[in-house]
Amino acid sequence: MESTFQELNIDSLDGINILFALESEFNVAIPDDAAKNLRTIGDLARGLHMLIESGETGPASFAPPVA
Amino acid sequence: MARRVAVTGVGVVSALGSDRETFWEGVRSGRSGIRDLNGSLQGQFRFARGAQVYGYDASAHFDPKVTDILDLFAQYAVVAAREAVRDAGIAPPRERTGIVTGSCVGGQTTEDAGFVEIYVEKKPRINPFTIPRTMANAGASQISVELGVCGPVYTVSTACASANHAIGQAFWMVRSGALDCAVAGGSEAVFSFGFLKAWEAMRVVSPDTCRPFSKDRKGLILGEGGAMLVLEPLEAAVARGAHVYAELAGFGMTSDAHHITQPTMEGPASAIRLALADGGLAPEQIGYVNAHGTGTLANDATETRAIRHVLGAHADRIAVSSTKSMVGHALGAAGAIEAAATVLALDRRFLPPTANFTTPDPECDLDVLPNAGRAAEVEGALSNAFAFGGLNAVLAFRRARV
Repeated sequence: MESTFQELNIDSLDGINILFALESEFNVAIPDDAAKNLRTIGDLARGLHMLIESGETGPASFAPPVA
Repeated sequence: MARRVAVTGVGVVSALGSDRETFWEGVRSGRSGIRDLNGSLQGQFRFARGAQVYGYDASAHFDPKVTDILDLFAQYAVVAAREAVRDAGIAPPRERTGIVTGSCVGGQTTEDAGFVEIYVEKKPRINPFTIPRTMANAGASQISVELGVCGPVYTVSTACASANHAIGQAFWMVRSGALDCAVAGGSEAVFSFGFLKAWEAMRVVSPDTCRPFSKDRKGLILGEGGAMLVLEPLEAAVARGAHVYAELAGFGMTSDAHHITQPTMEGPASAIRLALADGGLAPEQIGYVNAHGTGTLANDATETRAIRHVLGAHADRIAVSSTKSMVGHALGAAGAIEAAATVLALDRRFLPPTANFTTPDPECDLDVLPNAGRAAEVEGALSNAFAFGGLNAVLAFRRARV
């Protein structure tokens, strides 16, 4: 849990892909600022848990504007 | 013997204005063109701002029949090219002129609108001009039609370095004698819902504004627009009494061969070194660098190291600024808008500032002209462009000595 992304050889592109998968799976929005401060798997799990507990759902309501 | 190449015409469409002089007045005074996203784009993204071309009225520039077939990005290319050619006061020779434009994503605004119609609105058909509007060479082609130019006309797509590659290739063709005139630059229109969503997912767009080289920088701000330069042999320009903004002296391009989004120091440094060598310029002759300066954590620190690596101790005696702090990052147009800013800086003897700067960053320890420009006569200037995909293209300019 306390392995860092760096130790796991997860680069910035892998990182945004993981965030994308988690946002889609749990229907939450992970802010950029919070994402930047994530160093370990544990950070990510705790942050995700908080987001899910807070009941704030993500961008599911977003729809393309109809021009 | 290789010819020397002059920049004799400049045209600009940007968030700071849809003509060269309004753009220059804005850049010179450090005015930021970054504002809240307009209408339907508000409240849809983790970022709220962009550097859009405000108050642009297509009908002021084009017959409706033409706007039907031209996406916004191509219109910007044509408007900028018209201004540049008018400015140069040249009638481009039919066979011996080339047009090289840069664009990262072509007419994606048109494509995005078409996708909404077929996927969301379930319409059975979309605009029949979707294909010609979407093709990345639409601007270059329309310019060739208007100018009656029959030489090499093409478009380069290398993400954020597109326009520098375009200008660099056109420059080499004029210098070698393959062409007697070139119109070169780039244009981009990025503000469509789908494309902004893609940028949001990249997590590199700033939630507030673009603060290049500032310790509290949080990313880039997207911009749009276009810029074009007219290039011709210096000797011919002088002979016809044209105003020479600057000499385009050198061009260098390299690839990092490393990572699709993470920059290296070595790739950009090599491109800077090659541009200097190509232009016969020593580091000590450079007085100003218009930086790639996106305002992302990675770019600005890496670019600082690259500049220091090539210029050595001289890096402490030059000014470096990012005009993206004012016109945003216009992707395939960025290098052209910045080349315009660079030649105007040489011509007007004034170096534009880096706007929105708050706090020095030890990792970006250059003289970045924070929030205020400076009157200065410099001999040489560089304009950097470093693209996703690890592609680097640097233009080297020299003050006109006419």
